[in-house]
Amino acid sequence: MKVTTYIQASADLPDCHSHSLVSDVLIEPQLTARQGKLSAVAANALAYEAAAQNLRTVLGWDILMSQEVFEKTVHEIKEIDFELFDAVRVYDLGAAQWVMENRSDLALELIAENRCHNLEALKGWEEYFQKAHHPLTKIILSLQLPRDKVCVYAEALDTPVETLGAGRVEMFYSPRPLLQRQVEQRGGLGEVEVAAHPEGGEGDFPAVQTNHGTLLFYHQDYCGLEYLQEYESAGVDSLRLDFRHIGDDGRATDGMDEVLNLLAAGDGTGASQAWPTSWDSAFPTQLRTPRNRSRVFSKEKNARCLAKVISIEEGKNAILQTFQAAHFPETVQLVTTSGEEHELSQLACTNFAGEQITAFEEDEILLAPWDERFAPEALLFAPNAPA
Amino acid sequence: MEKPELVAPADNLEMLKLIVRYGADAAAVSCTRFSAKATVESLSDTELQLGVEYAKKHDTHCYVSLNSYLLDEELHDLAHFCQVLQDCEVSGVMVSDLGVARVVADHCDRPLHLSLRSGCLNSGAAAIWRNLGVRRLILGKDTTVEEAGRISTDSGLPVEMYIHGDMCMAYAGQCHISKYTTGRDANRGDCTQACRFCYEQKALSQRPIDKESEIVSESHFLSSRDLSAVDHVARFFQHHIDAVKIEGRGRSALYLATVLRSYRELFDSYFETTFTESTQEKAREELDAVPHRPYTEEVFDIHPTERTVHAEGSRAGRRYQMVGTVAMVTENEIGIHLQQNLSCDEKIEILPFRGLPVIKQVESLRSVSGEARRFAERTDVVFLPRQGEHIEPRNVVRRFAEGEG
Repeated sequence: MKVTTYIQASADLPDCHSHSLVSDVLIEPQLTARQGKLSAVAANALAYEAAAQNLRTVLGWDILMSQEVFEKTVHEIKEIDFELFDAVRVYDLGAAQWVMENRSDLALELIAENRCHNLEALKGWEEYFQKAHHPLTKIILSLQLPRDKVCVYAEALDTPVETLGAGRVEMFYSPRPLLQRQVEQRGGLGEVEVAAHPEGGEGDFPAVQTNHGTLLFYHQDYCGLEYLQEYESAGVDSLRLDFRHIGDDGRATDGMDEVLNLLAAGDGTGASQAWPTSWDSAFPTQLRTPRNRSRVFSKEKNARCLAKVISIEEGKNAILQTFQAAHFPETVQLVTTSGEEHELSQLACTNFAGEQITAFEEDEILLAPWDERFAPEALLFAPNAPA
Repeated sequence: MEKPELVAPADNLEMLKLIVRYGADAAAVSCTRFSAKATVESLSDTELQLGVEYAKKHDTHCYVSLNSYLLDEELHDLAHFCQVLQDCEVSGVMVSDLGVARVVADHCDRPLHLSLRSGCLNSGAAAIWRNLGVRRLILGKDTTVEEAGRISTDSGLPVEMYIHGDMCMAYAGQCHISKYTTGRDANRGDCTQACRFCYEQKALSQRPIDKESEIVSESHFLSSRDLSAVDHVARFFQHHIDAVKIEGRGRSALYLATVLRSYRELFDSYFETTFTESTQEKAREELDAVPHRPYTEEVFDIHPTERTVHAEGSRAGRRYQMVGTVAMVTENEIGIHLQQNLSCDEKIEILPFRGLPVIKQVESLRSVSGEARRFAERTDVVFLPRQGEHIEPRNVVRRFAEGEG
């Protein structure tokens, strides 16, 4: 199992170099990364130093780009010396397209965070880039996938996959500068970070405004290092460790040494315990929006549906609106709003001229004789066809 | 000059018929089996079939939304559902996920429209989706009109833009607050709307912002103003935007009828060169009269700034209240299916599908069985006299709501 981590300064390199687990380092220029802090010059210099220490250098390009930002970014990206990078990690497909058109020599890694929560989608991306003669060298799986899916996908995909081992959970990414007032309070300079506490909610969510908008994080980190063996067995290529938010001195590897020592010893549980902030390992599996979530609209208007009760005149009439053209059967099934089903025989419906109706068109308004089981929103169905 | 197609959402068959009659060129519907909004009503297969037939009769397209992020186990059912889409001959299928797009393309030949939830915001990304078979791009609400035009020109794909209604503060598909805080997944239609909550903002201990107090502010800083395009109609024509869409799932018939009538009038009058300042003013008045947050139009021009935040959090505008819909019309009477209580002597407005509202003083009411009434309750069907006005079934009936606004 390999480890990918972020670096922001030369001071991060010894921690990476001294651990053989660390193979890839993510370098994030301000220009291309949501949380990027480095100028192009600094990113180039850091990539040069990292490459000299036999680390695989990966340029982080994870911003989403409007057309204008896209044009500006690809114009300014010439300041990045791509010769110093082994790979580019993209999120926006526009970035992938640019890499394919302009740097066919560079390895391409795709962040499959959204729109990729099924194997068909992941295989689709794998095939697309293969056919475009620029096969992906890594797919970064969504943090929103449950652990068992990560393992299944690692086994099923031809492309190596990476998942978050531990780090901050980004919950929200907006292009808008939502902390502008705080930025102005600080003289309009730099990033600001605040804790946002929702009404009635638990925990303070760190929020940060950068050049690319506003990010909001969960109040606890995710840490899945205790599942190290599970991931290794499934063939997950690498785990990403994100320490960017831990230190406060411009480094991105504060606290990494102890965690890596434990991981190197195969002690995932120990590594989790050594994770330097409050964390949770469970929330990506807590999806409570089930398949075909049952709704309050309990009865589906199917091909047997004849009409809906729209109103009643107690003791006199029920007013029906027909659902589709049909003949009135001898027996109809009434389904009340609470789901009870009743059979009604010989329901003598009339139109507003008092004529009895045996057949009707869609959207007619009809009258039925009063029955205490009628209520607005109740539905009338033709009986089930005999088996 | 091509007129952009006006697209509006429909939660159910009734709403689909309503928006078709109020001038939508296309209805965007979601179906029970794969609804992207789990908490909003959606159409059964039979309703879809009837809805598509109804839309076709009125020269209206019907697009089916499959833009929920589907899981492996749901794709098998989707393959079966594709046969329904094929049989109904829907005009397009909106997808946001390549897995869904591939299943749909394998099982039916309906055109694929790429949902804004896919995050396609530039011509580079558009080129990839075009290669993958997409035939229309529904662009994110952060895209300016000029950018949309450039994306369309560069990619050769028609584009659709949102012009009115709610906006997410995050990039579409990039908000997981609901999922991580409650387990309810916004990308599977189950958003808790956490962006509309009030948040206390505090300085982080290691990065103090305000030394005097820990709480810096308290506001709805994640809540966006609503989108409105009244002042930008010309630009959709100038930049060759193919379709414009109203956001309105889960909204009332009054809301959709009012918004659709307004934009129908704006786009038609611009196309017919009868567009004037008074057309705009009338639309603005109408759109101010339905429930909404303060509007913003700046996103059509520039990338959204902090001015698009609705920090106060409350809704504005509520001058009109839904009374009901016209259920039937005879030579001498109008039958109204009430959604609110109605009394004699009240003044109501009936919104025809085109043209000025019909204002009526309720002088008398009678029940279905013919009894004279001074007062009728919600869900009742009541009749009032007709004096030759051009009124049709499904017309929305509203009244001025005193004291609100």
